[in-house]
Amino acid sequence: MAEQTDQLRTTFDNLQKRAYIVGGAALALTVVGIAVSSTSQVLQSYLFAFLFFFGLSAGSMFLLTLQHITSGVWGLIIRRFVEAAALVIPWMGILFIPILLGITVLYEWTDPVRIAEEHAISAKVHFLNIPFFIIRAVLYFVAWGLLARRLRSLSIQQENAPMSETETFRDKLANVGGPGLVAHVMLWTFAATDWGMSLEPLWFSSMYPVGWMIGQVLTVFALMIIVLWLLSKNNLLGYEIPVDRLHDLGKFTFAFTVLWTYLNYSQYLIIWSGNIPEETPWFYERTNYGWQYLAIALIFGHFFLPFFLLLSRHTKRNFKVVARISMWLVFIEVVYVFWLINPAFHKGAFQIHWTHVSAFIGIGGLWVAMVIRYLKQLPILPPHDHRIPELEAQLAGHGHGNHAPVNH
Amino acid sequence: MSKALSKTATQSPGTYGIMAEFADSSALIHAASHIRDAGYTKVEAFTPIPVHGLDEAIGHKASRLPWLVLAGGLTGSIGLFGFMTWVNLVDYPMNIGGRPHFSWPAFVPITFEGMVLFSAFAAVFGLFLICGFPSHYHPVFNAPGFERASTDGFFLCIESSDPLYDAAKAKSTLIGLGAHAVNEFSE
Repeated sequence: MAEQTDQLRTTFDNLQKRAYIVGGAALALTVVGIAVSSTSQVLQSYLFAFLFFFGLSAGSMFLLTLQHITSGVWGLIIRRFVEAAALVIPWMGILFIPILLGITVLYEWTDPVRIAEEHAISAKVHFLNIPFFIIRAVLYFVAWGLLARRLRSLSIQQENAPMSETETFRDKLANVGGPGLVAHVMLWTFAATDWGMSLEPLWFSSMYPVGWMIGQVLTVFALMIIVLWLLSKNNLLGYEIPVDRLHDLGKFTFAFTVLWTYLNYSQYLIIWSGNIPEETPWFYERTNYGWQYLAIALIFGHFFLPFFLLLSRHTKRNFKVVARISMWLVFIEVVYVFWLINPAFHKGAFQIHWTHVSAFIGIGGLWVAMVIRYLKQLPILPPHDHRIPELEAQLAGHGHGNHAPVNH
Repeated sequence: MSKALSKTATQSPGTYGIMAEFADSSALIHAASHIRDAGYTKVEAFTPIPVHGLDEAIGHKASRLPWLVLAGGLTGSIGLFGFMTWVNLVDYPMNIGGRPHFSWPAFVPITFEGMVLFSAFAAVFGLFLICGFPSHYHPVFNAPGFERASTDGFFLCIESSDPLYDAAKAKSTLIGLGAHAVNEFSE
């Protein structure tokens, strides 16, 4: 169970190489877009792609810290994957540089003319100004990076320590994970306000970061199901996943689908019933001019479809079926992030550009390659985790519950 | 015991079944899965605590309860959404802040709560229905020592209506599976 097999290593190597090549090529193509299209279009597309993939790392950080404090075998089987994705956050800081360089193109509140004519923007200038925005961004990446690296260094120490010390490490990781989760939620609240919400500086909503954050966590659960399914199907995982543990991940996916809907709908309902001019435009822009089709797609695709499909215990316990549903959930989250971001730049008409696709593949390729870089360093099932004996007992058929390995 | 004798025992009208007591939940699960694999279908288990995996071990088919809950949830949500629509459009249309009469965003919380409420009703009352509640008498109470099923006893019952039912054979099988006490009991 401990070492990565040669087969897995080769798969990771090949995938990583391909991800670097495809990602690099797509990013280069996106840069060509500056000449063919415009700098502002390229920056808009880049911001959308960046925020989607940053969201995968952020959702992973949420789950990494959460599973360290809650324990549970579901956390053991995803631990290394979310750890690797969280470790990519500092590198995402490097990918953030183009956004900082294009800050005056992307963010309306940097425009002196708008500041002069709009009192509501000038009143926010102590918070929304370029130097402070950059300082905050650097702080976020440093804080996230320190948290991810602290948890990783404890992981490495745990690997090198004997199994007898496993409970010491469990407690150490939980002691970092608890405050880490609080820190993560606060960091994301500020980051979402800065990077996404301030695109429309007249609008504000305290629900916005939370609704988005739950979408990220949901997407990471879905992604974990897909990754485990792919590895398991190709005999690369090295162990069988007990069907009850797959059921756990399915139940979380279901619960977070409902939570996402609850938060996003609450935001809508409060703004709709308040019906005051500084709040409604954000939704008005997103439910008119062609953007309403995405909004309707989100209601059905991000809620009704996964809700009814995941309602049944049978779908949650069928690896192939739940993996398909998860693929849909990842796709619809891309639509959600697109619907959050792009209407800010295109009020009055639906718009999508080829650079959205190329930037998405570009940043996505680099993100995948970086995640694999960290995945290769340690066994994908942490051998000295305190939950290993529990998983082994379940695989051996002891203890309560149905531990039959799941079918592909 | 000869085959003829055990046959007559089986057919004695007053026998409800055979009750075996086990030391703990894992012994019960072990025995139940053997009994299931031996082909018995009229089997029931009684435990003082919920035991994960027991449903599969005694070969119970998936419960019908989820379908009742789904029906309850759909009734509640569609019913209340429809009711609010009827009230606001037909029965008593009112101008509230200039909004359209069919202001569906305002209906959603009630629709959701209706779904929760009626799902809960369906779950509780559906469970009563499926379990045969309220019931003041059940033959299993005739099994000696059965009152311990609510404190520390783990019981497995094979009913005499099972096509494979043979008291002597069942008794020896259950003792072989580690049962402390095995008793036939009457209706």
